[in-house]
Amino acid sequence: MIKVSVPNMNVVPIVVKPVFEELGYEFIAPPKMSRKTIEEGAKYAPEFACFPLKAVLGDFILASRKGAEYLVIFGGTGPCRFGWYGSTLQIILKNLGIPAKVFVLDFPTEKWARDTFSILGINGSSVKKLIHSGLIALKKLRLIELAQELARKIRPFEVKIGESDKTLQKIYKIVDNENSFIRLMKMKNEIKLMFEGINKNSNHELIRIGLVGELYMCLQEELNMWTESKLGKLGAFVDRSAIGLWKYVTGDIGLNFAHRRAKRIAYPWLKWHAGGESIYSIGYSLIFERKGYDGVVHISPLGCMPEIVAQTIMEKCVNIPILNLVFDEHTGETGVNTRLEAFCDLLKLRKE
Amino acid sequence: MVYYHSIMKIGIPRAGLYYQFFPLWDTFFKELGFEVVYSPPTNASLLKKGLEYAHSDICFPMKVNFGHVYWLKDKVDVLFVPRFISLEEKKYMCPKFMGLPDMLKASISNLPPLLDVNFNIRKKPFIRSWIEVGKRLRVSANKVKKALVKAEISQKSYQWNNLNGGDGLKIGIVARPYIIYDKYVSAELIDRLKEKGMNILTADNLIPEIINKEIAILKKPIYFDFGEKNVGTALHFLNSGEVDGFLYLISFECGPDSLLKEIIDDRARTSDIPYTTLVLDEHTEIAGILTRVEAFLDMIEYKSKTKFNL
Amino acid sequence: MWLGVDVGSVSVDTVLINDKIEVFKSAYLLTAGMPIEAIKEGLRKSRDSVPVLGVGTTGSGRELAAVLTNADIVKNEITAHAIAAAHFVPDVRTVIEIGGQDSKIIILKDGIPVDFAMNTVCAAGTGSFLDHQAQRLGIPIEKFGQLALQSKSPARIAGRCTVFAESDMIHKQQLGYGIEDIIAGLCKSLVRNYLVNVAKGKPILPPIVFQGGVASNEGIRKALEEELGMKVFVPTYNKLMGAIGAAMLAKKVMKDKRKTSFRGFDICDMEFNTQSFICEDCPNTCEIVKISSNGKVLATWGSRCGKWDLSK
Repeated sequence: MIKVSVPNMNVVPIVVKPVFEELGYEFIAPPKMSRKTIEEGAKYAPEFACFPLKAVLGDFILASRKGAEYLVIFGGTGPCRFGWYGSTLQIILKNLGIPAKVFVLDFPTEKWARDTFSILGINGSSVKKLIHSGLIALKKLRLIELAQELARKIRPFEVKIGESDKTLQKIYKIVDNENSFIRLMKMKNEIKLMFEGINKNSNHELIRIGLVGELYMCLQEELNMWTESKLGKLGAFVDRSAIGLWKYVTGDIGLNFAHRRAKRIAYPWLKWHAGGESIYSIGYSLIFERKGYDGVVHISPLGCMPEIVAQTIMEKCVNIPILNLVFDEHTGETGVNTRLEAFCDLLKLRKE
Repeated sequence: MVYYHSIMKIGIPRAGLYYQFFPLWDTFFKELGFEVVYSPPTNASLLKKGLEYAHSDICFPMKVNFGHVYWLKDKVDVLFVPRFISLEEKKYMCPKFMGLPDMLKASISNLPPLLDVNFNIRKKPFIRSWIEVGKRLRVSANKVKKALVKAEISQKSYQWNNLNGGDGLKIGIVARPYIIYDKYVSAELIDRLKEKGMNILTADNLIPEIINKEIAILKKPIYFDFGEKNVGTALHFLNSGEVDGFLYLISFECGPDSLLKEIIDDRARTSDIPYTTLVLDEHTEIAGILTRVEAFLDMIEYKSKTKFNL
Repeated sequence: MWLGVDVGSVSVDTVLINDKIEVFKSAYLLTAGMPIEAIKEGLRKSRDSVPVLGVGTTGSGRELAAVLTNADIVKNEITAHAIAAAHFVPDVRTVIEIGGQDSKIIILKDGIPVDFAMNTVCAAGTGSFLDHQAQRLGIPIEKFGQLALQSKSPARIAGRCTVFAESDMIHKQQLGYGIEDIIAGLCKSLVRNYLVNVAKGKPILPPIVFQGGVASNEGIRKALEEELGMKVFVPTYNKLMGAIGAAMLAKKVMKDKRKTSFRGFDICDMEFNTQSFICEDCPNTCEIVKISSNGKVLATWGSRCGKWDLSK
């Protein structure tokens, strides 16, 4: 059986596993992202490449050491650099002497993108089975995103700090191991009960923070130094309605109405979506401001082209405090902690 | 809306795609009877303003661009800063160009009105963008079309880079237009090399067919504007041996070039054409660049001499 | 009396303040790579027989100081600096703090911080920038300010980072610039780097308070005033502002609490042992630090998963 792997991107490996297994591949999950992943990636990636490329390269190197032969990544045709990741990664891996092949999933309407699909066998396999595994994948994604949402709500109130994070990890494992669609359908209540079981201390004032920024950096907590979880533990409710995998999938095909609204609100300030999440970063920040949130945390990788555009404009048009966190492989965690703490202090003081 | 008072002054920042389109722009606006005001060639004090107003993580050419706009803002009635989205079919400009007019508005106060018309060949031919420019300036579509015909002629007939002739070294330079033709940004590299009697070859000296042939080896087409042109040129230099060596000038923090460089580096590993990359930014010392270029040229000369001796 | 301890990357500051936030005793020590010894020495110098009602710690080493003193409150240095500045200059709008390896800007309104920024990727706008160059020039950093003031035409020293600035400085020396012009140029360069890297896009409004170790440097203050075109106020205790802020925070938090958890000044004579090891249980390879005294483990930190944390 041919071994396939994908990069870590929050829970993507968990979600896509059933699909690849249905296609008849052995799925190799890349090792959980760690300092080692980032070090390996940064060692071989071009110096000025953006941070996500370095992390993905690290994942691919480690996955191929685990035996992965096909490495699958999404494509795109700009304007963000992400669409060119696949081609770049293939060159780097080739020069490292790694025989694994990078498969870029681009729009099948493009002629040059089609043979990827045929090699992966997506054209040949049974449609019914594919739809079934696709539904399982979607269900898994929805369950995990629900759990993450609940964790965000409970974190600021938990008595024993870190408990929701532990519950979340447990849920990841349960969802990963469950492959029956019927049992997955029933899991929603189970997840809710698990979170209800956490001891809460409800009598303290809450600050509300909206999270915006580049998708991958926001989702991959090892890269953003656990910003979301840390903010929660500092007593902040984090609203991540701007970013999420499900949102990304639906937003891309224009089905996400919240995204459309954000775009509309951002339009007076940015009249063309400059790729990535740029217009959503601006739009959602304005929405958070209208909702009376206390602040916005903006996460981006160093040198990210779309987010620099967004940042420049947000500084002008958003009237609640913004904390810009820019990450690369040299970012120190102490500095991030200090900023997050100070930002929460500032928001609390403003409320008084 | 923009209104007439005597002859309207249109400001064009001497930055960004000015270096690609100035013959066209100049003729176009002058044909329509406007006064065109250019910012001076990039200099240190202009750049200083750019550094002050642009985001510190943005690429060097954008910082330069901000400086030019700042210089022009009180001297003109309207600023020509279009939003370049796509110049070629299935290509994109980089996000910073897409957001440039909005970033300028957010960063610099008291700007004159901006002619921030979209230039997006994926959606509509450029002539329609020009008609929109005309509309904002209260010029009829017919006049615009007539002016555009003349403007396109002057764009086509412009001689980009004259070869020296003679038997000096042939050096290729690969870079985006706003780097290679901005003398401040590129440390006057072309002039300096020409003075030494060398022949300089750029992408503008190659016919498109050559470039297209080179990039045909890529499975997935490059979707960045200037990407294919630069990579194709570099690959041609490496494959054909038409030059004795070439320089690749990139700006610090240039997103597309940071990845596209890998393609060139990959091919260069198995080619014996000398090649070096120079990374330029606001902290670049001219002395440092020249040292590197000198060493590079010495290397080429040394190499060709040993070749002759064989 | 309230005790404030600020453990920075370069120095340890301790301060004892009274009810009226007047500095009673204080100490400023270089850590020289031994923060525990420096904290103990600092406490020894500000030791007094008056009872301590509360202890606050701040700075990048705030956790360490908190473990040693058993502090009542542990706060980040941004908040601490803002609170101290707002006390001494109640209508302050901008706090510029340049420390050893960190520099920050804090924007205040009505005595409350509303925005802040810290240096992100580089140290070119911090004290270490000057330290490096001072070492190279062989001039004690204390004399830097005075020398800079003597310059009539400062040299232009470019450079994003200390290394590039150094090569440019060497170049200027080779061109024959006088030492005071070079030093003044370095001061200007630091200020420019600070304004571009840290303060970019922030509304810098007067009154401006300039604090942190580097604020003692007259040359930097002058360069800052020239670059901003505004008067810059350096408080008397510029070096101690973080510690004062921490002490003030301790005072505030002790309003609702009865008894301080302070271990007492005896810790100056206690032996603390630190032990560090790398946990190889997962690929994160966290560096775990264990602090103990008299065989009793006081704290461990550094692990990502929380496995080594002591249950309190």
